[in-house]
Amino acid sequence: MMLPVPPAMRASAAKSPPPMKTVVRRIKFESELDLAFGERVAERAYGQKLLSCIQCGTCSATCPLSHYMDYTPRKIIAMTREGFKDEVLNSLTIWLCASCYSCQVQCPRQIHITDVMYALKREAIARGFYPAHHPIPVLARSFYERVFAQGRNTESRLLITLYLRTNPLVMLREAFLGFHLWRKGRLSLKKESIAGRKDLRKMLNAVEHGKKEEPL
Amino acid sequence: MPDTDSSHPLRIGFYICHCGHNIAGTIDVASVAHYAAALPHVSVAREYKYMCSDPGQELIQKDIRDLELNRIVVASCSPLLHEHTFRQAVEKGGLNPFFFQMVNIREDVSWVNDNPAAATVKAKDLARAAIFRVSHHRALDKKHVSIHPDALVVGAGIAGIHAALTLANAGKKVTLVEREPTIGGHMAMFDKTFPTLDCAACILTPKMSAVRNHPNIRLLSYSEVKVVGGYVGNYKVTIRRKPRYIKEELCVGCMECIEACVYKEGKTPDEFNQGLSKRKPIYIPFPQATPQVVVIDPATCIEFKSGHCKKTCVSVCDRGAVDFSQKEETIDIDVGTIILATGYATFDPKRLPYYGYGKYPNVYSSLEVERLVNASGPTAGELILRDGRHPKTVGIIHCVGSRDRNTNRWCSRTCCMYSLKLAHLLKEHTEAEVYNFYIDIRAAGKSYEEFYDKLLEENIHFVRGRVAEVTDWAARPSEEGKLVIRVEDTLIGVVRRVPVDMVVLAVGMEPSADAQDVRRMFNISCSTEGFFLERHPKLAPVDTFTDGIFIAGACQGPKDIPDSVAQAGAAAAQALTLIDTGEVELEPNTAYIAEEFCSGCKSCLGICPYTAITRDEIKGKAFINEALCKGCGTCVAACPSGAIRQHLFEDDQIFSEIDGILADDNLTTAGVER
Amino acid sequence: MNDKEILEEKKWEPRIVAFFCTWCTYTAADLAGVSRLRHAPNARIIRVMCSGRIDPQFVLDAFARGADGVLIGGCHPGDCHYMEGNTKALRRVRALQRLLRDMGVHEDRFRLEWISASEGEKVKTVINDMVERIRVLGPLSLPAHCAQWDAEVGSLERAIAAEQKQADGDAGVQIPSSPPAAVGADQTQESSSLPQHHSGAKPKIALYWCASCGGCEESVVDLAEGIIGLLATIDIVFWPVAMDFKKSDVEKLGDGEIFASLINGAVRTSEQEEMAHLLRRKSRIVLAYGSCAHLGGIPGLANQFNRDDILRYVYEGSPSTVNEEKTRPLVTTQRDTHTLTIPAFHSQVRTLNQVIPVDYYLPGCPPVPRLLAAGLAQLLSDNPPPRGSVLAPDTALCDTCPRKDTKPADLQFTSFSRPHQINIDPAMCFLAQGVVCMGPGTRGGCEAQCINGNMPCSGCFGPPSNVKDQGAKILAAIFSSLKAKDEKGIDEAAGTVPDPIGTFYRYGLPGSLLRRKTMETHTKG
Repeated sequence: MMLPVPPAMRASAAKSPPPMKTVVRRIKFESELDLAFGERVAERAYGQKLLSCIQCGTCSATCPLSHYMDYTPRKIIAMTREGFKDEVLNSLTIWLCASCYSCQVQCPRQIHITDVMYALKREAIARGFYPAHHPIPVLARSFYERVFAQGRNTESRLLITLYLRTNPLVMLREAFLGFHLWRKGRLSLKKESIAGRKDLRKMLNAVEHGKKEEPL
Repeated sequence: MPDTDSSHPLRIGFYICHCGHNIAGTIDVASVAHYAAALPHVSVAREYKYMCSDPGQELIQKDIRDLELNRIVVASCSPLLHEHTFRQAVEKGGLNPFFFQMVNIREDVSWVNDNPAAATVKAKDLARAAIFRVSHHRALDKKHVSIHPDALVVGAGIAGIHAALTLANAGKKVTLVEREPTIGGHMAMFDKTFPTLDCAACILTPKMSAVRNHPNIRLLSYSEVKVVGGYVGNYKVTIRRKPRYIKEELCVGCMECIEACVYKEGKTPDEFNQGLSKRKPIYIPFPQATPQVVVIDPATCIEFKSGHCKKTCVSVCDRGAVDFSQKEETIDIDVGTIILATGYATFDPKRLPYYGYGKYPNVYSSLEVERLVNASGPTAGELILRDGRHPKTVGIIHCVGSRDRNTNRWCSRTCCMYSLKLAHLLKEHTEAEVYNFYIDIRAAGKSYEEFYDKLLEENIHFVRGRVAEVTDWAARPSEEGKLVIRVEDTLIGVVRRVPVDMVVLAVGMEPSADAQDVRRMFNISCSTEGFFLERHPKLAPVDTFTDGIFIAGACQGPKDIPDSVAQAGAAAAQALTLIDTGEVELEPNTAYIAEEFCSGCKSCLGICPYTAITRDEIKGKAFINEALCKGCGTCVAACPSGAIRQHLFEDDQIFSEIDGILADDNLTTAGVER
Repeated sequence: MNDKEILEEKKWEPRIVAFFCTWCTYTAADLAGVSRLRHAPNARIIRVMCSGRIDPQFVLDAFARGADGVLIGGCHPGDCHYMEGNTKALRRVRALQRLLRDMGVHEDRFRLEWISASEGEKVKTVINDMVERIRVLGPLSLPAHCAQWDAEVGSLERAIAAEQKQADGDAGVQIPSSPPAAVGADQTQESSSLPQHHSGAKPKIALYWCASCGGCEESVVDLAEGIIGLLATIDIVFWPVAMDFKKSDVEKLGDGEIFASLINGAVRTSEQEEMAHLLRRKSRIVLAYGSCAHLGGIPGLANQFNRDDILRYVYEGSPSTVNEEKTRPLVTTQRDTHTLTIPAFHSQVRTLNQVIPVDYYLPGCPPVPRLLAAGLAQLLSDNPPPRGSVLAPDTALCDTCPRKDTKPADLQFTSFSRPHQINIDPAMCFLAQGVVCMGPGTRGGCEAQCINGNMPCSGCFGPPSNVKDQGAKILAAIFSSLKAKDEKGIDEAAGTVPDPIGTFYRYGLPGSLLRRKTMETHTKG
């Protein structure tokens, strides 16, 4: 079985010269770090012992999505521990985490890495630090909005919202697939909702405005 | 009643140690001394920086002489550390050493307490208890037992061999017991040893041969210790010799019987070759085995299974060494000291399914690879994989089973070095690309770092990253037919997939499977990891808490050959100290019968595990054999008349200690006086 | 400061006495120290070689002296440095835990933990946990409770002393409140010689019964013809059961005029207390006669209940009582112009020496006439025994038991039977048949009367002199020899003794270390 090869790595790309790189200064001063960040994240993630991490890299090696992450899980732990708050919260990694738990299962220090990822994700949301047009946060938000409004998710409308907010051109490409699914009865265009929408909204509001997690 | 009459009233000297900052940093020692000075019968109360030092001890001795003290209490560290020191000091001062009591205010108080007020109160309570107790101490004679000059060494790997040779060369008679049919242990399986790349067999066989030929060593191979009784200097050990079905004294090791066996080829996985080859029911572990005697495995031999074998082995042996009627033999020996060198077990890589051991045929454990590269191994040193190929790429995975809270937390110390060694040997044998996947390179011994240096120059790939999985699933055509190692190269910062032909798992070292049973038999302890427990990790690494029993080698913890040999020499030296002194001093804490109160009720007779208590039929009373009594005090508590007493732990002494602890409740532990 | 005040001011801290075995638990505690594992400072460690050394008397003594908790630490089962000392400790501890439960002490206060030499962390967690649990329970404060209980007798004693002071002031004669030293006798405190009687008149003897069944009086009568010989040497001046002397006759006597008073029965009422004090004043020697006076006796078992419980049951709760108005007797009642009084009912049953100083003890329920005669002869002789002696042999009953030879050397109990549950072989040792016999822990001298009647010894002579608490010691002796090594088996075997207090403390509850059931776990109301 063969995986589709990403466009950037196709043979054709090698014919054109690589883009000119700009010289960038990369140095991290201690004053730019938030030294207590690691401790607070650990606490938020049910008290995980980030300090025990030996940077062995098992988590990255076993993570099915680490290929696509800008910072691998191991790096996220190292950076969190050292206080690289901005880099960590702005990373793609925490959004790409599929919570498959492979890292947590294999970690020789039994650190609950997935819980840490989720703590970081929640923190990023609390601060509004997420890539606004990236499909994953957009999907999460759209999903929530739809459920908040209707009490239920309508797949077709969710997808449309997702494409419109991220990359509308993709919609055109996927339309063909969408048409076939609709024809086979796999994708309904009908809006789905529940009767007690008002009550649900009340509950969700209570949660949202109730105990707020403090930004770290 | 205290052991003084009215013409010699109690005169107690109380000394509290600062122990530098260790005690005085938390406890207000001056206040404790002041408090003690006001207690009944205390003649003097002093504080000093280091009581265990010479000046400190002289302080006590001077006071004994000048102030005519007849009881001494020292409040300092744990009695397990310095009780003996102070007893000797008291004795040198002219007072019976058992008129002494020690108060533990360091390990028990200052080191486990942050609150100075609470710690000071606790120290006062304990000091008072000791002062009350010492008033009831009596003069006692030291108990000496003689040491039998013979020694027992259990386990004949490199550590056991070295210990036995050291003792034998010192002129002592040593019984060396080994469970396997040959001595040599794990070291005999290795090909070359790091960092010198000496051939293991070449450096080991002379020692094995020396053991064989040494007049002072009695080698009992294929034997196990069954029962251990007695105490330091006087151990009685029962050893079971498993039957080889070969008369050891007649066999010359020509191995014609193996050749002649009705089995044309071996069918049983060969244990010495880690199952990589097969052996016949009659076999010798390896050609240089010591003793050079074959052994018959009754589980696979046709004669044992059916009773109808041609027994070609018998007919071909012109010395008549084969003896199917041989029985198990029991041997009883008396020894004064015992050295345990029972070695280790390797981690079973099947416990980590993601490395594919047992699933993919070309995943090997390090011990299997040692046999493969060994010229006397199953493939005569040629690197042939299970599927018959020669590997073009090899991946060596470090830390298999070690440094992992899911399996073994500890670092097994030797795996990095032997992985480097295997990398070198594999490269030498095959010219393959060799990759080592590690978390850290631990090369801490002499010439170890230099060895690593050399390997770097041999173009061996070192990838820093713990391997997450070994898989046969190919992501690209180039990975087809290979085992793919998925790892994050943490130094470069990218996830890599490395396809290899052969995976070598550097398995860690663990305690032997029956370590718990063994240690119970010898009455020693194990640490939480399961290795035998040393008396002190820094200062007494080969002693145990049981006098007369020493440990050496990997059974005490993972270590390499130089360290095993060093420990074996140390253990032998410790044993020699005991043997050459000829006697050892034991604490005189034996039980005794106050005959006038004994009613002959027999309640105590069955209580003593050492059968030290018998009934004197003439007097109709119990009798305790002091030589057998170990001083546990169980009979003392069980006697319904209070007729059995224990020296050093008399009822009145313990009751007074209880009284002393609780006597003053004006000092609450919050440190506030009412 | 009373308990409540202490707690309110948060000055009370639990005090725990810990007994640790040298090889495992003490080493682990040292390891905790070396590893700087800080923990609560409330435990005070007493080191023993093996947990098997721990006598249940130590545990009870610690509680009696004011410990709020007792912790025992030993090696894990199978790991004992002395093979099986910890197994014996476990057996005794399980039995003791049951006893303490029946004595009303909360189970969190007495704990057994297996801690191996490498478990420094466990020492920390166990001590911390135990301290917290006991903190919730509050102080046990047995000494303070004893002081409170004893206040009820203290008041009478003080009243007498005050009266006496006044009388002395009037008369101008200094009369000592304790028996006077005889002429020529050694004046030091622990004098072993006794006041000698004045020559001439026959020494006067008084007998009195407190909370008594009358058996002790019977035992004097059982001297039979011997009483005639006795009467030739002594004069009985007071014996309510047999002779018509009145209390006023005693009061008329001079202080110290009576040579010896033989007082039997435990002390439960204010009248008994008053008579005890009266006879003490008037006598040179007070002899506690019989088990009740010596150790508390059968009435002593009432110390398992509260005064309120008893009165409520007797006057309201018993099945045969009809008392709808819930009338209770009062100490003082007015009838017309008369004031009627009855003795007050104390909250505890007491031994005689918990009320007045006692010189000698003659044990037994009842005492044996032969020992009475011998004891009196000793007292009357020129070489009386040391003050405080028990006038009976100091070896246990087994020494003189006719069944001694049939007792095996290695008994291993799996269960116990009470006398009515099996057919007892009259020729074999009771313990060998699984019947609890207190013989090994009870003084001999009784001529093994119960044994000869095919009944096991129930302990009425009390313990030999080296034992502080008879019940605890017998418990240790018997339960050390159980066959079971695990908790379940031990509990099953121990459970076949349905009433530990009644069995092991039948005669000695008030005289034991704990003295009575603590009402800590008693239901309120």
